[in-house]
Amino acid sequence: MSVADPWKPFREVMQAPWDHVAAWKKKSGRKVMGHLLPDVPEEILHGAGLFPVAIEGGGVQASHAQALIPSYTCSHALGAMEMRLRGDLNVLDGMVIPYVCDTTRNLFHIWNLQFPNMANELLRMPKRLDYPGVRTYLAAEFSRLFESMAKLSGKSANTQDLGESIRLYNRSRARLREAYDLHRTNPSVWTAAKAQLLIGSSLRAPREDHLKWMDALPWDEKGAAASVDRIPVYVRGKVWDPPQILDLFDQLGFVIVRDETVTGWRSIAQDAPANGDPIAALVERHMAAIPYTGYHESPDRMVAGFVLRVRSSGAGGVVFLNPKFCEAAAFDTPDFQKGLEQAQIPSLILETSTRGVSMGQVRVRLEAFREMIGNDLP
Amino acid sequence: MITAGIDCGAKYTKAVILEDGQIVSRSLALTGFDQSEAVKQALEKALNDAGISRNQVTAVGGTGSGIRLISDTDVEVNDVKAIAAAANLFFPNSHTVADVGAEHGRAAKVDEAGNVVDFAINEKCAAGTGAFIEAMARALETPLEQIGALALTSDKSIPMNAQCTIFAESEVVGLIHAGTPKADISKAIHDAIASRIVSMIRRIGVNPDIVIVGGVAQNPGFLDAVRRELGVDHLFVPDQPEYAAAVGAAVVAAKEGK
Repeated sequence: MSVADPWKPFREVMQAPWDHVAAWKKKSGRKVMGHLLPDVPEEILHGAGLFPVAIEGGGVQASHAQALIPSYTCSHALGAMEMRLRGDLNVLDGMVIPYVCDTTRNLFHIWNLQFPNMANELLRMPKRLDYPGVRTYLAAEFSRLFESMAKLSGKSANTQDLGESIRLYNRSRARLREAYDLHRTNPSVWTAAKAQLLIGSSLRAPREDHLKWMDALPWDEKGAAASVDRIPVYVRGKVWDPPQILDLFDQLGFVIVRDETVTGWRSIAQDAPANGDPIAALVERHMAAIPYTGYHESPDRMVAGFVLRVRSSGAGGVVFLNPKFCEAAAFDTPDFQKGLEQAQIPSLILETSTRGVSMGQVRVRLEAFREMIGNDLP
Repeated sequence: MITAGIDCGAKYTKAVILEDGQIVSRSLALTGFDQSEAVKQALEKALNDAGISRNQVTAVGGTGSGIRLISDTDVEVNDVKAIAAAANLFFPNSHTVADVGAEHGRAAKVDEAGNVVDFAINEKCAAGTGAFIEAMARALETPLEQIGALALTSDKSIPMNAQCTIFAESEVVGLIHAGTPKADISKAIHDAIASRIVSMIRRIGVNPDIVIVGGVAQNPGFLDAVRRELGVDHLFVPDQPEYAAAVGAAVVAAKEGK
């Protein structure tokens, strides 16, 4: 890949991820493990000698998958199944599906029946974060996954290797946070789409290579427009679906100061402790992460924590990017919105999906929201 | 100051000439496939009717689903902002406006200055829009202009559950086959639309003086159903409510134009 245009490697990964994954697989001899994102510790897959690749169903038009999964399933799950059925994911040797909601649990069982020749794992995430035994449980589940993944790669589960992987991913996340903060301060150059290009490609490329590519980026590049011209918003959602929505945020003069998507800020916000027991470090990282939509904690603490995060971000408003047919998001949103109302922070709920969303309608809503919160900003 | 407002809607393109807050002329053209041509036609006719030239217009505000194809605008006005500005011009004491056009339904809460405080837009499908009424009028073999008045002659209450125009049409066919009188079906259709629109209004909060604009605001059956559903005695509807968004665009152009 050429680095004359430093952004080219990232774009190439996102334009044809599976061609690149196949090439890397051939070159490295590593087996490829797909994962369905929320809270799957990539370090475990990497430390076990595998090549972890995120599978993001958002943005995929479903045709084959509806024969196996009801149409009232979120596009993240439906899109993942679609990609596997149409052959995009043939390069995968296995798949980790985290049990974070009923949909992912059922998806795993359908997946496992359909593709018995793949090494499929259901990672049973603890749904209650305030349960006293949660750390012990999660450590056992992460250890089980690590051993299973090491068996697949044909090596022993070595905690030293896992520690190395943690340090690699910490370095990568630090660099990505730097890019995200540049988007906050210099959004005309470091657009939301560019920040997301870096995060999205990091989830699909070998992390070592990705770090090198990031080193070649023009980190000192300055833009003409200052961030004060933009309207700061906070986005709560699962994935950027449809992906073009990031361009809309840029075009309409918003700056995403923080987000809680699993392919956005949430995925890079927390590092795992670099020293000590690596499994315990990954458990601590999970517990410190922004709680995922389907997890349970005291509703008051969930809402108070959310409002605090929004306030400290400096956002003028919140956009809920709720996936269509995501029950977990539908249950959570009213509580969060009520909390925002009490804190006098305006919000907008966008129920989006690659299937059945008109970008024109999304644009009208975002424009009206900009008018609404723009009037209140200095 | 003279400004123009253009609303390039899904079915019709409307143009309005505004002078110092007073409407001088209005014009309408079928949007069709060539939106630029529709905009040109509507604006030229409005200018001719007002007896003024394009050079006398200080600023042109554009709004509607085809707004980005309007090359002759100085200010691009968001659809919700346009209806808020119009409601504020027509009825300054009102703080809630609902707009029902061919392909959309939306509601906005408006402050004293005409700014949008909150809003809601129909999300599901055509239910709650003018396109829905047109489809149902076809199913009932009744002219569109008469279907609203027909609903007023019924005192029956028949629930319609379908959110989608296609399924609603099936429901209407079922009622026809059951021998239900046209007037009762017409009332059921208008009640169903009103229910969708009122739920949007409730989402942003009901203030006593509610303004209804958009082409569907000409339909007496719809207005009656909204009034009953909201439990209010009166709704505020401006003269020729289908021009409201264009008027709002002209108002915003006067504030933010050249």
